[in-house]
Amino acid sequence: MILFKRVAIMTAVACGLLACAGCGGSSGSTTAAPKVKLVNELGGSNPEINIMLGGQALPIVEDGGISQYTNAAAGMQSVTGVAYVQGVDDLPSTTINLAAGSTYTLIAMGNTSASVDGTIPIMIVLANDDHTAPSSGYALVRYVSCAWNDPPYSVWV
Amino acid sequence: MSAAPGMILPTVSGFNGTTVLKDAYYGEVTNYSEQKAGQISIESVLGDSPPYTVFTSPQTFTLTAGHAYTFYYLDGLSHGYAMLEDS
Repeated sequence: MILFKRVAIMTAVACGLLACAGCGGSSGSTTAAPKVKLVNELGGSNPEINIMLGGQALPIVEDGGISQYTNAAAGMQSVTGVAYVQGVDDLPSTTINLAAGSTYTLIAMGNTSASVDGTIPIMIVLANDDHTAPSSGYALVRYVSCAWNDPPYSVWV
Repeated sequence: MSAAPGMILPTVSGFNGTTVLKDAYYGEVTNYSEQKAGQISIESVLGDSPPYTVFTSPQTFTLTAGHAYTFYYLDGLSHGYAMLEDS
């Protein structure tokens, strides 16, 4: 099953590359491609996830890991993927809209082990990383709740 | 709501400090907010009802001026929490 999934992903990647090669690449546009990085915040026993963004494979990210930014195609993109646990679990698929010149984080969260009965949702969340520069001497901080089994939290410093 | 000794109540405006991030449901991402660069300490992560997480010692992170970060919280599962840079 794992072999089948990996072959399917490799095939999809190859198709994506072919599709890209066939599209010319001389649009004349100087707009920067959107950039996407992947964060794996799946709890439980999920060593790594493999995400397909359209026909493009994002870097494999282990549990708690973060990838570098990867150039992606602008526009509506499908997001599919698998988590390698003891076997392979499909992650929920979704569709996202990426704007040229923007940066994003795709966050996989939930718990594949606990979601076997379907009661714990696994989510793929898209966060826009674009921001205005903070005031001098300041940084920017935001918070994402990956706590699937708890009420809403606030973070205090 | 009662609180254990040393706990910080998650009131909207009654905390003598800075609320970096307000309530967020599972899967929700807050907006960025400014925080003074340097070391910050996260003392607790509190909900509207138990269970709460109060770190046994404040979790410190170093913020570089001009950079952006996201704090991920999983309630002690697996790696539990992380502050990752976005920029």
